Parts: sequence; structure tokens; C-alpha cells
Amino acid sequence: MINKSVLLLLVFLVTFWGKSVQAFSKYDVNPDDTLKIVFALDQLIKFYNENKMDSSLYYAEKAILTSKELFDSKEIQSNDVLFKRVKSLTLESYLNYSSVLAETNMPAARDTLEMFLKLLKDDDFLEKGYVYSEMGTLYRQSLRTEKGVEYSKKALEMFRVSESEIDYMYELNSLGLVLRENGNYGESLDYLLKALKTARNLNDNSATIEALLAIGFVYALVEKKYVAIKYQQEALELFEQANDSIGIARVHNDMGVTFDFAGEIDSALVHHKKALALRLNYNHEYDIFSSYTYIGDLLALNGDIKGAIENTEKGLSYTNHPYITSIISSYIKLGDFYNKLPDSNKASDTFIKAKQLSEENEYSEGILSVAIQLARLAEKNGNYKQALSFLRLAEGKAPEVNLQVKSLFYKAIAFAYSELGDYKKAYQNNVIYAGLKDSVLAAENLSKVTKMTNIMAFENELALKKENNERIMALKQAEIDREKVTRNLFLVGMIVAVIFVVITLVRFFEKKKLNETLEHTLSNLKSTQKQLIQSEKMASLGELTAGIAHEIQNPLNFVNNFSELSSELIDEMNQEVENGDFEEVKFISADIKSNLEKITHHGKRAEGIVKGMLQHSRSSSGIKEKTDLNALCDEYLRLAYQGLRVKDKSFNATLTTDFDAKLGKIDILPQEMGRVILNLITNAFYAVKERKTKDGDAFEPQVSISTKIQENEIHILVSDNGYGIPDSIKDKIFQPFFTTKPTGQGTGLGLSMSYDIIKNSHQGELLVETIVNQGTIFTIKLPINI
Amino acid sequence: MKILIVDDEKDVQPLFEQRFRKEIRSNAVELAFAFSGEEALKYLENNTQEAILILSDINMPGMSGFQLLEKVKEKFKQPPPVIMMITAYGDEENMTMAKKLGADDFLTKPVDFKALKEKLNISL
Repeated sequence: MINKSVLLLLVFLVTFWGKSVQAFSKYDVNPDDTLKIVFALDQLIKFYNENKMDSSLYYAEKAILTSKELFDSKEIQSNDVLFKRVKSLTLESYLNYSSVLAETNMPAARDTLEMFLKLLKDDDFLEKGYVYSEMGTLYRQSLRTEKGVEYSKKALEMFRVSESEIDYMYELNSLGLVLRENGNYGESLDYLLKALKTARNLNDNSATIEALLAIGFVYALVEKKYVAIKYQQEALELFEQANDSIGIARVHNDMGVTFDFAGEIDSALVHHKKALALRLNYNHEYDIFSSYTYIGDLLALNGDIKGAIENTEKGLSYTNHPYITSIISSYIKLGDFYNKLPDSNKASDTFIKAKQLSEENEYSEGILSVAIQLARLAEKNGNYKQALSFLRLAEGKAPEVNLQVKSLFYKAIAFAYSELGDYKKAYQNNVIYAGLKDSVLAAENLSKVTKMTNIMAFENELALKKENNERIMALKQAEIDREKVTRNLFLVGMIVAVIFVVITLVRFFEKKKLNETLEHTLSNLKSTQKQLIQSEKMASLGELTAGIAHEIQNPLNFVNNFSELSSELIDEMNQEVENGDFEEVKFISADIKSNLEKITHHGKRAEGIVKGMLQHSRSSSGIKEKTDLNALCDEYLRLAYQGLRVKDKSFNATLTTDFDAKLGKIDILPQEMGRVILNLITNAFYAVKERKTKDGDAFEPQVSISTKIQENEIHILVSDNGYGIPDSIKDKIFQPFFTTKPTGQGTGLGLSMSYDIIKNSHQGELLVETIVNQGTIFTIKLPINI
Repeated sequence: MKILIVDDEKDVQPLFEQRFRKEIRSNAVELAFAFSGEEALKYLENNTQEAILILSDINMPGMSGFQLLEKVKEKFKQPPPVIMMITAYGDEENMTMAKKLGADDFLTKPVDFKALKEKLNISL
């Protein structure tokens, strides 16, 4: 934390200095106090870096006291801008104080931060984030990783809420690294990937690279070589773009480690050599040392002991860095390499160098490891006593050491004693070794199991993610496909629509033209139909005219005769009056009266016929009238008969009527119904006349009309004894313009009009029954309440 | 003299009765009426021995005047009745037909009773 703090603070100081002066002059507050804090912090960092903890602590306390005083001041609290700066300074003071304190008293450091948390308000998210982040660091330092992770996560949440994306990103990264160290590869990857995403969003190249490399290393650890290399490759490209050779070397180093983990020594060597070549160009000794050491190790693994020695020795010429344990390890390895050559002297020299360094730096593991190696060398020469003395000496100088080294150490001691014949001591040490060995095995197993578990957990997680990703990809693909299909359908639809529109337009114009023609034709047809209907009426009227004339002639004759007679009778009556025969006068006057009645009767009869004729030719009123259907039938039968007789004097037929007296008056359209009846009768006469012409005297034409009430219907039957209607045309007789009459004699509309009148105007039925050579019966069926 | 008048118009009866009032009273004529051809034939069958003058309309439903004429000429030969057909005015065709079928004479409607009476005097 302190290193990051230093950087932060330096940046902060540079910017703050100018601003604070400006701010104080503006708000007329004594700048001395804030300057004191800045100065104290400056001193603190200086001493901290010099590892002078007491002085650091002194300035840290000073900074914290001053800043706390300002922080609590009501005057400053009332000034938003100023208070904000003071709050920042106070935060910085607390964070640095706790960092310093942590070196000596971890619980006190944590308490300090807890105390500061209490000073913050609920919505000081950013400040809280910094404090939580520092708490996390402190817990991790005291190896309480879980607690540390918990605080890091809290910090993360605060940074998220405060929308401080950079802090959020750094916290993600550090959380990812902690989890990686802890072996939580899956969770680590989650955070690192988020960090990467955020870094990319922020266009922060260095953060992006950090995240890429961190992710790459996670993959390297779980031996996902290809994925690891992929991330590292991206980092490499970014460094290359920036011409950052240090960065490039770092990535090659990481790649080397990745291949090393994967057991690909040659590839690992290539990358470490590339890293080394770059690192030799700049003076960072640890980096050079490290690269040589890796190369040496790898060559040794390849069996190239000479190469291993050469590189390790070169590495050991770069030791101007603080990583002394690495240097010691490197010497021990070098000694081991010499031992393998074999070159006992050089091995011995090297081990002694390692022994000196270990003892100087109180590096227990180094001391024991070197002692074991030296003992082995002595044993090789049969000098068990010397071996034992190396070991014994080392034992006293290495209080705390890791179990593995310790167990190997006691194994070596036990071996030395047994070779020296001191079996009791050999046994005692062997017991220690056995106990340690169990612990080591247990620890090794545990670590193996943990690693395996972590890798498995990671792989499960990865598989799950992959599956999820695949599912998401599949869904996306499906969506894309669907969109494609939709788009294609849409396009096809559009094309079809366009074609359709064009066709429709063409059709529309054609139709419009056609419609005009059709309308014209239709109106022509309508007028023709009207004319036809009229002509049908006139045709039937024509058929009637003769009959009507005849029918009128008769009553007129009566009228004339009876009036003439009456006139004569009056003369006679006057004569009788003179004669005084009043008896006769009475008779005559009765006759005259009777005659006058007859005149009236026949006059009315003529009038009725004329009326009927007019009605027949007139258009229908469409209003139903109470009509004596029997009388109507009788009248038209007569008219039709007389009409036919006028045309053909020779024609005669037996007319039979059978009217149901119960019929009474019913509601019908009289002219229309009359027309139907006339039509049927005319047809009947035509039929019998035809037959009469062919069959001659042997045939007696008969036409009959009858009415009757049957259940709920009124039936009007018109029958003839003509040839009947052949089956072939039976279906057609009701069709308009169908006629069997010679051209010019029939319109072909009679039956169709009749059908129409009965069916549509009277809701009735017009049926035909016919037997060839026996005759035809037309039946009109009318509902009783029409 | 017996005259059988055949017409489907029933009012011909009072008409003829009045026109022949004097003749009926003086028993110069006796009138009989039939309202269809069939009825006329029946009457003739029932009164075979009488010398009869038949006045018949032509246009009648059922048996027409001409049919009646034919039947009468065919059936009743002893003594052959005098048959006069009454035709509509100006109906040359019917007149020719009536003559062809053996009608003794014909009258046109409206019936001129004076002319009829003169003819009767000649006929009888």
C-alpha cells in the first residue's frame, strides 16, 4: 500500500500544492495548518522509504493530529471546497499512519482505520472504499486472506457506488491477484476479467496489460497453456505498440514460465532467452539474474549441466538487488550442478558461499539446505563425522524452517549417525525424520489436493462458463439467424409486396378500364332487362288484347242491348198507361229496373277488365293487397283463353276450374300474381295447342286451374295434357331467356320472371311436375300468411 | 217456332226474352237456352222431334260453337235443325269457317235483332 500511496501522494502533492494556495487565499484561511500536514506526510514517506519506522511514525502521528483538528473544525466544515480537501488529507494521513503502524502493530493499524471509518459520513463512499481497501491489504499482510478478501470486496462495492472507475479497476485487479495466490483461480479470473473490461473501457493501456498478464498467469497456473499465451500475446502486442522493451521482456518471461509449467522446456527456453536479451539492455539486475536462473534451471532439466552452470554463474554476477534468498537458492543449485558434473571442489566452494550468505542473512532454509548438501558431499568422500558436524552446526542456527527441508535434514542426520555406527542417535533422528516426513507428506498431499481441487473447481467453473458462453453464443447465433431469416423474409416480403403492388396497379388500371366497360355493359343490360321485362309484359298483354277486346265486347253488347230495350220498354209502358193496363205497366217497369241493373253490372264488368288490363301493364306497386285469388285465376284463365282463341279461331280446349271456396282474400301483389298465372295458363294453352296441331282430332286439349288450402300453404295448380317437358330441358325452363318457342314468339322470360315473383316477392315455391305424353302440372305454393 | 240459344253469357236469356217479348206473348216463338255446347247437345237429345233453330255463340269455354255445329250436323239429321252462328264483328275468318262447317247462316255481334227477326221470318 505504501508504494501505491507514495505514487498517489506525489501526484496529489503536485496538484494540491497549487490548488491549496489558491483555495486558501480565496477563503482567507491560514494555510499553515494544511501545509503542516503536507509536510508531515512528506517526511513520513521519506523515513518510511528509508525503513526508519520510528521517525515515520512520529510524522504520521503529527499529520494525523493536525488533519484531525482541521477535519473537526466547524469553520472548515462549513466550507464545502475546503472541507473536501481537508477530508482528502485526513484520509491520506490515516492511511499512511496505519501503513506505518502495521509494520510493528497490526491490530493497532486496523483499529486506526476503524476509528477513521467512524468519522466518515454514510455517503463518503470513495473514502470508505480507500479505507476498506487498506483494511484488506492489512489483513492479507497478516495472512488472514479471507478477511482481506472480504474487505477488498467491500472496497469494491464502495468504489462501484462512488463510480470511481479507476479505483474500482485497481481493486478488482488486486482482489484477483490475492485470490490467485490463494489458489482460488476461478474467482480470481472473474475479478481479473472484470478488471480487464474496465481497463479497456477506460482506455487505460497499462492497466489493461496488467490485467492481461494477471489473467495469463492464472491460466498458466491451471496449465491452460494456449489460453495463457493468448492473453500474454495481447499484452505483448500492447507493449510492442508502446515500444516498451521492459514490458516486452516481462511478457516473454511470463510466456517462458507458462511453457515451463506446461513442461515444454524448449519453448520456455526460447522466451526466457528473448527476455534475457532485452533485459541485458537495461540495468535492472534482478531481472537479468532471474532470466539467467530460469535458463540455467531449464538447461539442467534438459540435461545440459554445463549450460546450466554457465547461465547460473552469469546470473549470480547480477546480485545488486534485495532478493537475497533467490541468490542463496541460486548458489545451492549451482553447487548441485557442479556436484553432478562431478566437480566436488567447485561444488564444495559454491555450497560454502551459500552457507555464508545464509548465515549472514539468517536464512534458516538456506542454512539447512546447504548443510544437507555439504553433508552429502562429505558422505560421498566417506567422511561421516564431517557430514554430521555440518548438520549439527546448522541445526542450532536454523530455528524456524519449512518442514520439507527440516525432514530432509533429519534424514541426513539419521543417515550420518547410522553410518557412524551410533544407531541409537540414528534411530532417534530417524523417528524425528519419520514424524516430519508424515507431516511433509500430509502437507504435500494437502497442497496437492488443494491445488487439484482448485484446478478442478476452476475447470468446472470454466466449463460452466464455456457452456454458458456457448449457450449465449448459440442464442446469439440463433438470434442472428432469426434476424437473418426475418430480414430475408422481410426482403422477400418487400419484393413480393413490390411485385404485388405493381401487379395490383396494372390490374387496377385494367380493372378500372374493365369496370368502366362492365359498368357500361351492366347499365346497358339493366336497361335491356327493363325493356325485356316491359316487352314480356307487353307480349303477355298482346296475348290478352284479343281476349280483352272480346271480353269487353260482350258486356258492351249487353249494355247497348239492355239500354235499347229499356227505351223500348218505356215506350210500351207509356202505351199501357194510356190503355189503363196498370198490371202490365208494373211488369214492364220491373223489367226496366232489372235491365238498368244489368246495364250497371255489365258496365262494371267492362270497367273491371279495363282496370285489369291497365294493372297488368303497369309496374308493380310493391304493395300487397287483399285479393280474391280464385277470381284472379278465373279472370286470367278466361283472358288467356280468349286471347288464344282470337289468334287461332280453330283452337279449343276444355277448361276446368276447381276453386277452394275457403280461400277467401289473401295478401298478394295482384298484378304480379296475375302475370304468373297468366303465364302458366298461356304456357298450358301453348302446350295443348302444340299437341293438338300434331295429334289432330284424337286429342282433346284440357287445361285446368285449381286452388286449395293444404296445411299451411295455398296451392295453385295449373295443368295441361300436352306432351310434357322433356327431361333434357326440365332444368332449364326457369332460366331467363330459355324458350322452346320459335324466335320472335317468346321472350324466354316468362317462367323465370314467374319464378322470381313467387320465390322473392311471395316467399313461395314454383314447382313443376311433368310426365312425357301425359302432361304438366305447375304448382304455386304460397305460405298461408304472406 | 222453337229457338235454342247457346251462349256462355247467362244474360243472353233476359236479353232474348225481352227482345222477343211480343213474339213470345203471341206464341210465335218459344225460346230455350243452353249455356254451353254440351248443354245444347243434351237439350237436343231430349227434344228430338221438334224443329229447332239453333243460335250459337262460337267462343265458349269447353265445347266451342264450331264443335257444337259439327256434332249437331252429324247427329241430328231428322229434321235437320237450322243453325245460325254468332260471330264477333268483322271476323271474316270465323264466318268462312262457319259456312264451311255447314252453318245455315251467321250473325255478327252485337246482334241486330231486327235483322234477326227478318231472317227468322224467312227461315220459318
